[in-house]
Amino acid sequence: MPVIETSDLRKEFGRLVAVNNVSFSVEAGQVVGLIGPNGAGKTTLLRVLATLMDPTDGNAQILGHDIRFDRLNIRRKIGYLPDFFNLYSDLTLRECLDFLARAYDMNPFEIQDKVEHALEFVELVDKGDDLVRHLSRGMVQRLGLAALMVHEPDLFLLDEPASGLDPKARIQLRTILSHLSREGRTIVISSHILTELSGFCTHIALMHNGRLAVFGSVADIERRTMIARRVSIGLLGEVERARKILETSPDVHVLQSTADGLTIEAPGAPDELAAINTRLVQAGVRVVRFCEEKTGLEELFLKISAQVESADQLEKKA
Amino acid sequence: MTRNPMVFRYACSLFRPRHLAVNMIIYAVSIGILALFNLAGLMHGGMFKSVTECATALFYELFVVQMLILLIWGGFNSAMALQDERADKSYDFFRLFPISAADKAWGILVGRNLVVLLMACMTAVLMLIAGAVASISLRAQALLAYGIVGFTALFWTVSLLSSTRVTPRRARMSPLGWILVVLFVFPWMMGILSASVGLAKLPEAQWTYFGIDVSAMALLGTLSLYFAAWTFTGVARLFTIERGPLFTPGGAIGFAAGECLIALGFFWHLLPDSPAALIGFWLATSIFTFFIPCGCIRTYDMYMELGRRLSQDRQLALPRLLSYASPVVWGQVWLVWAAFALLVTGRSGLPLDIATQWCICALSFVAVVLVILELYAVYEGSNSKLKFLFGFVAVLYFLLPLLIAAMTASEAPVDYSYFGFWTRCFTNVKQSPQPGYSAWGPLGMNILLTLVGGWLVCARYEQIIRERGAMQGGTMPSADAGQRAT
Repeated sequence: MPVIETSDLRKEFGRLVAVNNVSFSVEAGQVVGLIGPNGAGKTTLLRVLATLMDPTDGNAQILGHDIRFDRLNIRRKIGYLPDFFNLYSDLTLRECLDFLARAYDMNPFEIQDKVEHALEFVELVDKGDDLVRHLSRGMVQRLGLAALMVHEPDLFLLDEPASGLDPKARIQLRTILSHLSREGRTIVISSHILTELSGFCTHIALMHNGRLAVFGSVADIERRTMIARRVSIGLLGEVERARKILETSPDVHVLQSTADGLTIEAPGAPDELAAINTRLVQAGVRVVRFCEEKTGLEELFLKISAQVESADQLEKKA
Repeated sequence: MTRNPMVFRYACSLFRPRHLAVNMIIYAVSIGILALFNLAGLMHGGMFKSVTECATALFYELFVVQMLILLIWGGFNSAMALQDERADKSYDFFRLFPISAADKAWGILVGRNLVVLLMACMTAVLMLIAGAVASISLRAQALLAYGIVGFTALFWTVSLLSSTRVTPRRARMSPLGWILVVLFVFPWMMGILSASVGLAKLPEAQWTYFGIDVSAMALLGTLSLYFAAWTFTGVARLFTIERGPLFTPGGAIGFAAGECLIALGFFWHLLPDSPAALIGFWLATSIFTFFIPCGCIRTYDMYMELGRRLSQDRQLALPRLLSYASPVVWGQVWLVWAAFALLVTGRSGLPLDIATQWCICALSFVAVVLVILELYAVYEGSNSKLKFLFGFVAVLYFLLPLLIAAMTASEAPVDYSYFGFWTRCFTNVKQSPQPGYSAWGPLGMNILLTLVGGWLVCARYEQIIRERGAMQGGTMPSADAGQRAT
């Protein structure tokens, strides 16, 4: 059973279509990065999935429960972190987590252990008896994750969890999210800061003007959007000769030339990359490194966005 | 109650020793000063002739303190509940708690007022002691307690209801909140004051209700509890369907019927052979009924969503939308009012044909106002500032005839104003043994205005259906759609 399954999900605000017939499915253990520019509909989609908004049309099931008719069951099983949030400023961290555990009807005998475990997980044990109002923004964000962990949800819906955090807090947050990902949790995380997501997302969903432009595993999307692979070649001298050899091939473009190597863009198939390496070696160029540079999420995002924009323009012209 | 997590949450904060100590010190000092003043009055001032007199005064002073604690402090706490959640930016967490809406509402009302309740219990004990010394009967004390419980329930639930209607941008209590408080709470308070010459006579105050003499405190307490139950249901409903209508169609009709029946109890013994009492009953109930449509109004967004479902079948879309539209429920609510208004006419001695004509005329005034309300609802999506225009039109509708009458020094235009119409009905039944004021003039004007407004409303319904049909074809998705949503 998929953790999330939506079919033609639509949310309108009067004339505005914020989520436009979105269909996708998320299986257990997947970490889905929901990316898109500001105003793409990411927050609205997450709020609809979190049962905070009713969809205008279409269907969505979370863990087998309908988002319209089975809200209480869904709310028991999900953990939603809004983009701008705070927790009860007049409570201490422990009281706050204790309260949330009770609100989620946890076994009273287990609450204390769960609270301590959650505080340990987000490295806030020593702040446990401080009032929430005395925490920094980064700590509140971590406390928010701890608040979700207390009731051990089957699905995490995180809306821009790193917004407004300083670099150190952002790194701490990424570490926590990586932990969650390794634990096999199902996570949907929205962000427009793509470096946040790289490294632990298994899937990417790109939203554009309320529509789900692309959805699939990171590897799959990389393959689909790959026009050319970028390869970094380390050389022992003879950089200029290597450059001339490579430029004889029409498909290869030298992007950058340095004293100890080249960066090239070449056709995507692995055997073609191997052939380039062979040609250099056979020509007597001493290759010390030949490695493909992984496409970052930001680059992937820009590529997909460009494809979506051009498809939109074609559609409008048609 | 202790299992309610909301109560636990507030208990953690409110019962923190340093917070509780401050509250308790203020309370103890205030009560101490009160007791000291009375004691001084007894021993030195000659204000009291005996200990009993002094204890009686203290008892009623404590009663006022109890009212202040429960109604003012407790009411304020309840009114600020959701504002605080929003200010804390914890509102989404609150909404997602997998507990029932009723549990959330109950948790807030009890939880936020734990200190208030604690102090109220302490004051109640002190009142019992003072009451025993003052020889105030247990029945009188029980009646006062019952009244306070009823008022408190009503104050707290209405305050919480007003809290649900406040947008995050508005920090203070909304005008709607104040209207609700003034409408549903203020009359009871005025009732208490008018029922009692002095606080000491309050438990003995009697009112005639459906011809039976009953204790004013018992009646007010019961009615307050009745309206508190309605309000609590409304709060739970708004916790479930945020920004939805306060009443279901059935609820609106039920509330209108209940409100008319309750008001009838107060007028029942006055009605025989008194057309003036009948007009009083009509006016009193119509003012309350006026506000029910505001609680079951469909907004422009709701019509747009409704239009989407209905636009599949263009032929039947408009009739079906009309059947779902707000004026249908409003019409039913006012039919309930009209039924009550006419049913008791026979008891008052006002001829039925005159009563029917006046009743229809009163309804026609209501129809114009409701058409203006619906115009605002359906056109709101095209211009958010229209509320000012329609508000201005409504005020003009009420006041313009009076202004014209003043300027022309003629009484005739007064009939065309809602207030003028009621005044004319009153004076007619008071002055003439054979009342026969003809209301055809204002009736004709109101029918004309209703038809024009109704035509504009129907045109808008059609436009909504057309727009929805176009949106389904995918022609209208907006590029900045997400921005408003997020």
